[in-house]
Amino acid sequence: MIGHPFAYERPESLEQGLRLLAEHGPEAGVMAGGQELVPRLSLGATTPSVIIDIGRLKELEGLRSLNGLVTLGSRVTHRRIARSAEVREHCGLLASAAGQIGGGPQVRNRGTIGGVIAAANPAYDYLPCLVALGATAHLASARSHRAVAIEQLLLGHAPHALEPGELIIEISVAAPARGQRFTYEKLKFTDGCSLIVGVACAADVDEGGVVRSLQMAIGGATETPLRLAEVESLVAGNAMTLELLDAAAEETRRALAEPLSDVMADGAYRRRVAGSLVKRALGSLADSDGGAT
Amino acid sequence: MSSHSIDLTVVVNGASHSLNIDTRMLLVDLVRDELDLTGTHIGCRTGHCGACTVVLDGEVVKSCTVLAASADGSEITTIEGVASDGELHPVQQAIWDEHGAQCGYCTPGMVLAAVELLAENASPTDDEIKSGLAGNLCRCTGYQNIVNAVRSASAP
Repeated sequence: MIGHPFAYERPESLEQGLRLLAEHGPEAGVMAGGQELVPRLSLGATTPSVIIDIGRLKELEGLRSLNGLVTLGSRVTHRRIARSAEVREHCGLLASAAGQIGGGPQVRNRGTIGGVIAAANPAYDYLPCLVALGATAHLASARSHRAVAIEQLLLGHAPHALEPGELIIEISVAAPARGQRFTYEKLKFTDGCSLIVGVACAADVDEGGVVRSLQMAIGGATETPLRLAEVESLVAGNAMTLELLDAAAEETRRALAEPLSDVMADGAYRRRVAGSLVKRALGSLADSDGGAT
Repeated sequence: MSSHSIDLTVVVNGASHSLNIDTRMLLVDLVRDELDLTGTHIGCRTGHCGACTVVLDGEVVKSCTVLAASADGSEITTIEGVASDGELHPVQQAIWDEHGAQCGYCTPGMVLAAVELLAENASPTDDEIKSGLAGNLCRCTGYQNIVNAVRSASAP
């Protein structure tokens, strides 16, 4: 039994849910899969006066791919994303990351993509992948809608990505070109542990091994995932050589001006290992087409 | 102000139950304390250990991460619902045969995770078995005999 008392509301429609959110404001705790919220309630880490259970809202469970855009309702589970033929075909990096989310199938069966974004925890695997892909979050409140790049959303409001009364409705990702390669390289102690550093990248590599375009982000190393724009422009247009990999690692370390220090790793270690993971990620993109979509 | 209790109906191991519960109740508390199905264990209450695994509407979940209120209208299978007519489920029998349980605390959750794994992938590799059981912690066996048991319960 959770210690702190709260009321429980289960809206039947998105409109009703947004109205409840507006009514209760910051006193409300929003629950979809509950994988983030319920343990925090049990620990007493959060004490909302009302839980708004959006776990049955049909409006938030869509998954479609249309005209080069993959759109996911915020309530789509990690399991569905990992297994969806559409996501695997058009957005392999995201499907791959969803299948790697720790805590076992139980967590992937229940946890949702919107919940991960709302939690804005730097140790969560999805976030660098979403930032690398330039994904957009669509937010709604009782009064307005807005679309915002997930990178900006996380930067603007960390550790709470949303304004009171606001709900993540959908996530959209421009589907990369066919044949794009992707990889997600991460360092953690074991499955289910928090991320120490993760590097997500998606790239177009031509037959001669020249990187035509590259999207790259690093997670776990800073409060919010960092798009590695300097590394992207350093590498794009070139074939991968050992010298280029070393330069990319150096550029990554330079980009991490103030890496996180915590019980798992200090900042200097994170900076060092981030460079190594970038080399590994770029190397694996160049070496194989194992991750090609 | 809304009430701090709620009426709900759940079907657990095929039997329907209608109750009035505290909104703070976790699904694991509902199963253990209200329905006396104590085969579902509590290890951590924070979603880490998997001892409280149950099947909720066809998918395994950690029942300490689910509010009982949100399970209203759902079908739940606990470890007590896995054997039928006094016959152990093949996964249970394999755990028995391979000595996959020592203290037994994690075993109900392991069994339910393994049943889902084999339902989706009848012949998993050892890596797939380990990945399928990654949400369940065991502090006795070193896992090897559990992996052996799931392998022996899988299709040849």
